[in-house]
Amino acid sequence: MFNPKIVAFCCEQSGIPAAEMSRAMQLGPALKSAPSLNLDIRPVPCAGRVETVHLLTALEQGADGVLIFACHEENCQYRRGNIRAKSRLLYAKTLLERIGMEKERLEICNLATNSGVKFSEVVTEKVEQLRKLGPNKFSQLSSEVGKE
Amino acid sequence: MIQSNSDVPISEVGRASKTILLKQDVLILGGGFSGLSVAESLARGGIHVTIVEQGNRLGGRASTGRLCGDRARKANQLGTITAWLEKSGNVTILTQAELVDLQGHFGSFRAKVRKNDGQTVEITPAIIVAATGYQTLRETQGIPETAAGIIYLPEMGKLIDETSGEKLFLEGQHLSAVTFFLDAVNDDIKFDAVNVLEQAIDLVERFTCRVFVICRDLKVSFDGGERLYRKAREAGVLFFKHDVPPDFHLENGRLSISLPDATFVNDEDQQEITLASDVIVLPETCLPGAKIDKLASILRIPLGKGGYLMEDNPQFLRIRSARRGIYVTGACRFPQDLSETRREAEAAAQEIISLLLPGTYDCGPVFAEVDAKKCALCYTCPRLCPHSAITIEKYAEHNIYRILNSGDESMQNAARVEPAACYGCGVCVAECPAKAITLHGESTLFNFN
Repeated sequence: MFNPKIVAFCCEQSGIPAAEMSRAMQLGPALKSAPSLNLDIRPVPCAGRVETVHLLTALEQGADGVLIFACHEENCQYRRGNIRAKSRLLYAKTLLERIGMEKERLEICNLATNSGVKFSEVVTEKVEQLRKLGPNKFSQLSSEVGKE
Repeated sequence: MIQSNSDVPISEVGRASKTILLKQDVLILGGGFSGLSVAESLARGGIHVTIVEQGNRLGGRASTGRLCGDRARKANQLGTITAWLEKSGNVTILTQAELVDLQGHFGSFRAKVRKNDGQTVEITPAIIVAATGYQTLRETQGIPETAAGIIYLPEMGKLIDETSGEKLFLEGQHLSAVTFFLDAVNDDIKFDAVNVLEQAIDLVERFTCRVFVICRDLKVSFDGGERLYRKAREAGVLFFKHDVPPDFHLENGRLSISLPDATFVNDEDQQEITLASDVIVLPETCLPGAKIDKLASILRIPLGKGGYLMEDNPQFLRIRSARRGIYVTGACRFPQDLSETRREAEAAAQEIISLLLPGTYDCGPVFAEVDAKKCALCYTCPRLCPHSAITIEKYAEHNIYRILNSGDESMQNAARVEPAACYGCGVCVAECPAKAITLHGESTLFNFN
């Protein structure tokens, strides 16, 4: 079964604690019969650290889906980082549309420190969604290009 | 199961790009309940602690007034802790002393402490804990005094503890009806409610007083709070809620309190009730300590809501400040019940021990570095850094802005980011007008091969 590779940029104020809580609570698709999750977590001090180019680079280099986990709006410790991240993600989605890649491969999720359950739910849903969408064809293309 | 790149814990991805040494040495500002609790946990963990206390003895408020929750037990605990600390080889105690200057960063602080006799001592801890407490104000809020007067919660507690007979007297007056008036001040502080409930129960059970509690909301969100409230209700304590302040006046030598009976849903049905009381008990207003502005500017951490020292993230290890290596515990962060203070102190000690025990700290994975040759000393980055990790230091060998033949010095001033204190947020990188700052370790975060 196709195991989608997901890159998750996690804000250190909310995403990382939620991911650690999720791991401590042993939540996740691993508990069911599905094979283990291919989730690459990248901690950032604030979701606002993530630029549009990072989202696209991740997809270019083989990720099937990219998630940003940020604090709830109005809760950003750097004041508007989560809002910036959201607008960059929306811009990246318009770029994906133009090149014919599915917009659903990018998503932002707002959560808080205590949202271990929400973290694992979002990841689980994304895995299911990406399974239906299939692997990222563009990453195979770039490796083909590299071979020439 | 959530996996990171390897078996490394999630938040440790890509670290070990630069390492600093850490001494097992902590400076604690404040010798009250909070500071002493942290000191005890750290010293028992093998870490050397210096306690700097502004007064002439340790213990703070908890050792004099009667504070809250299980008062006798907490007060005894403090005595044992203080005695242990004074004997421990791992502890240096400086009384009648205060912090006057702080340089350096996490792992390499240089603190100047001045004693009352004018001597200064330099201390070089790896970590600093601010536990300087709070101050209180007594405000009568315009309430007239009966013969028994107006009494504040700490004194009422003391009076209850020290009276052995069956009747309670204050200023020669027998107290048959006592009213507690809450929430006109301290509207987000919980420990008034603890004190009031415990005292109310004592007053009814030991001295057969009629007890009224007037409050806006009764804050029972502490361990055992709901049970304590139920016990008070079952003992016969009467609780009244108020939205607007009640009317207080004197009648026949007693205090007469009028307020609408809020148990009716419709305002029109609410009848006015009048309570007659011999004395009114008020909470002391809690305020940040008198020198907290000065402390915040010496430590270079911000003040938060209400003027207390600001924690980094109230939901998540609220004992951290905006600066790595500086912790804020106890009432200087927010006045609270002693059991919560104890828990915060233990949390801080745990984090400090786990940071210091390895002996080194791996900076990164992402941290900023200033190209000293290009720094124009515009002071933008030290002002902007949310974590106070940038200082101006003399370490640049060359600087393109140095005026030629202007009195040669071997090293130039330039902004410097301390890697151990940097959080990698990138604000300085974005804002430097000369584009003189780069972010190291970006590739570890944004490389997906």
